[in-house]
Amino acid sequence: MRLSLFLSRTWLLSRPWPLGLLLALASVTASTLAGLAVQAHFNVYTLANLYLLAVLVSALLAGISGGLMTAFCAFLAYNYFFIPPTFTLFIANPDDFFALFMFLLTALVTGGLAGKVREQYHLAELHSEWMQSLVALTGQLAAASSQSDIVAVISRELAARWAVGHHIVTLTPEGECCVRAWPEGEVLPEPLDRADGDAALIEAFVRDGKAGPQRLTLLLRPLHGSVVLVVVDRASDFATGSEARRLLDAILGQAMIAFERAALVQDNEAARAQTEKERLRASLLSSVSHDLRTPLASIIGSASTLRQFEATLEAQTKRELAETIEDEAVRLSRFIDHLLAVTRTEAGFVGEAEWFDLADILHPTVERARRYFDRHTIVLTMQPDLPLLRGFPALVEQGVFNIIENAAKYSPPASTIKVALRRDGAWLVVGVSDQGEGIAVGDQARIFDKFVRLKPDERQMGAGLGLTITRNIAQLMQGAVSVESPLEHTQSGGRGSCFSLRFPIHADAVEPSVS
Amino acid sequence: MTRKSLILVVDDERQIQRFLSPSLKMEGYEVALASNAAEALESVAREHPALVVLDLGLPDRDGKSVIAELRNKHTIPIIVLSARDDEAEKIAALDLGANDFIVKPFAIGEFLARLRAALRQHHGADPARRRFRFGDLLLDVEHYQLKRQEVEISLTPKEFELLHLLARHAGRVLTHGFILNAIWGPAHMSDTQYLRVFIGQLRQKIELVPSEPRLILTQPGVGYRLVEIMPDEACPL
Repeated sequence: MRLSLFLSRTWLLSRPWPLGLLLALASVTASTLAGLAVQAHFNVYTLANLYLLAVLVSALLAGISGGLMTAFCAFLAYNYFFIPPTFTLFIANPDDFFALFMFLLTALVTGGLAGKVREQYHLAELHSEWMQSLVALTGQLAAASSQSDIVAVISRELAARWAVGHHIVTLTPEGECCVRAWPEGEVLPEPLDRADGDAALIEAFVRDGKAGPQRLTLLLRPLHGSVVLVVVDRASDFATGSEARRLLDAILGQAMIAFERAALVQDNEAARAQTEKERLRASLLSSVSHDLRTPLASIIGSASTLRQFEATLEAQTKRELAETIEDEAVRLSRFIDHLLAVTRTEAGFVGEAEWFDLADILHPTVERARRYFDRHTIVLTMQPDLPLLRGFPALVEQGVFNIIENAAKYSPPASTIKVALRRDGAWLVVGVSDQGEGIAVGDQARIFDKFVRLKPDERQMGAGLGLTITRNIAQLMQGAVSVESPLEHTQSGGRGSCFSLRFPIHADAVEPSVS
Repeated sequence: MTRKSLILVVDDERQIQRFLSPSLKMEGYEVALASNAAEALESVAREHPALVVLDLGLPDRDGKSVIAELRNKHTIPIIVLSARDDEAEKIAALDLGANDFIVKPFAIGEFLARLRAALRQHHGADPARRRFRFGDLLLDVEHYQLKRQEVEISLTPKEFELLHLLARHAGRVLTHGFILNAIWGPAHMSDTQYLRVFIGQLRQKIELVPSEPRLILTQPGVGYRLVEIMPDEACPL
């Protein structure tokens, strides 16, 4: 609605001829008829005012050209119908000649001035509307966080404002080229060689007929070596100095700012990611070297002792050495499993999601945990008739096992670990609560991070990867893991933690009770 | 003729051969070694081992193709050695006809137990078998009945078929795809959601504590396994 109004108005501004001429003829005819009707009662010079009125009206409606055309028509009509000898264009009386000349001058000045006022008014209105839409556009651009979002906003704006066909090509410093076109929609990037530079890009466009004299091609160069090429159809509508061109420039100016902001945000994020990566790499290196070397040292030491002193060692010692080798190798194996699992879950290397019954997974998991952590009592309770989940059962098994393992490590011997499965609205929740010493509130967010061990000095601790893996697995299935601690307060401080691993119930999940 | 006590170990890692070979010998088995697929196939053809332990990562060929080729001619039990976190590989090996898988690294005790189970199951296998005992249950195919200590448990036809399938392959891990194909046909190979529901129902009927199943065991991400069938004569009616 607003668009069509706006279009008709610009159309009037840019093509005043037909309307101006029409208005001139109509208003002059009306004034003539009125003049003829009241001729008997008024002085012929007074009737000139009727024509001045027509000039004023036309100028206000159709602008300067309309006013001037009406002034000229009025001059002819006045002369023809009213200045004696009437019905001729001759002027008999020199007084009349002077009056007519003055009339023409007045009409022209009036028409010009009124038209000017009218055009100023419309321009002011137009500019105010531009300001408003630019403000709205700035808002949209501020919300766009990536280069492609910004391009989409600009494309929508061009389409909505002028319904003008266009291509917006972005070329990143890495050579990624992306073309967005309207009205064709997203088109595939052209095979372009970044090394050829922007000139080649423009050339390719000209060659394809996508740019050329009938189209307007504008090149933006925001920071960081990106290039944005905007090719707009109907170049004639956007001639240099035209109002449309000024608005287009203003829009692209805003886009330019948005592109630079996006680039800076991206830089900032990249820098942060880099710092994080380096920190991780450092801790990975120290953790890997420690966690791989310690068991290996025991294994090599024990094995070489066995071989060297085979004949003299007592049977008991031999058995102990063999046990050390086995235990340490198991520890090593588990550490490697963890490292692989972290890599796999972080890279999203997890195969295809499938339907599975969480209750069905929990049982073997708890069984396995009971075998590993036989000093603790592990109690499993499950709400019956729960819906199936969609995801990665083998990973979930590992995720749950890791929480139980964590609980077992941080609990005093012979304590009870409770594993409970329940439904909580649209979620299935596995809760694992222990009787350990609890986790300080300040540490609770940290424990899911890679290589975080709250007590790295203790011998039994692993690599600090177990909970990270659980968190990754939860996230892969749009779930989450959280911890609540302490569960109770005793004289010596808090006691107990409860980890909750929650997974969303898929909309298509079959409810066992229904089937 | 199959040599009852001969085990063929196919693994290109000398270290694995080095500890498997003496352990198996101590247990009274004879051991044949092969370090690639070609040797393995040749050894099976020449020496007729009772069981094959097969590592999937062989230097000359994919271990899975060895399973396929062996299955063309032999019913010999195959135990696959696989990596811990590769469910797809395990499923593929089982679907090709492997009897069981053991995750590397493993302790020798677990390995020997699985090996004995596979041999027992193979020798006890009788395609015409009509009665299966497991836990305190008796599945009588002849009379289309499932009984727990003389009390009949009623099953739907699909549940019966599912239990019969598990019983025929008792002790073996059956993949989801295998069960779905066998019971519901190839068009339903991916309806695992369906299968879970049926297994759940079956457990409700046959397990003493359905939430802690002891008969139909879950192998997360791979499939199901019914506990070993007892020989018929061990539990007279």
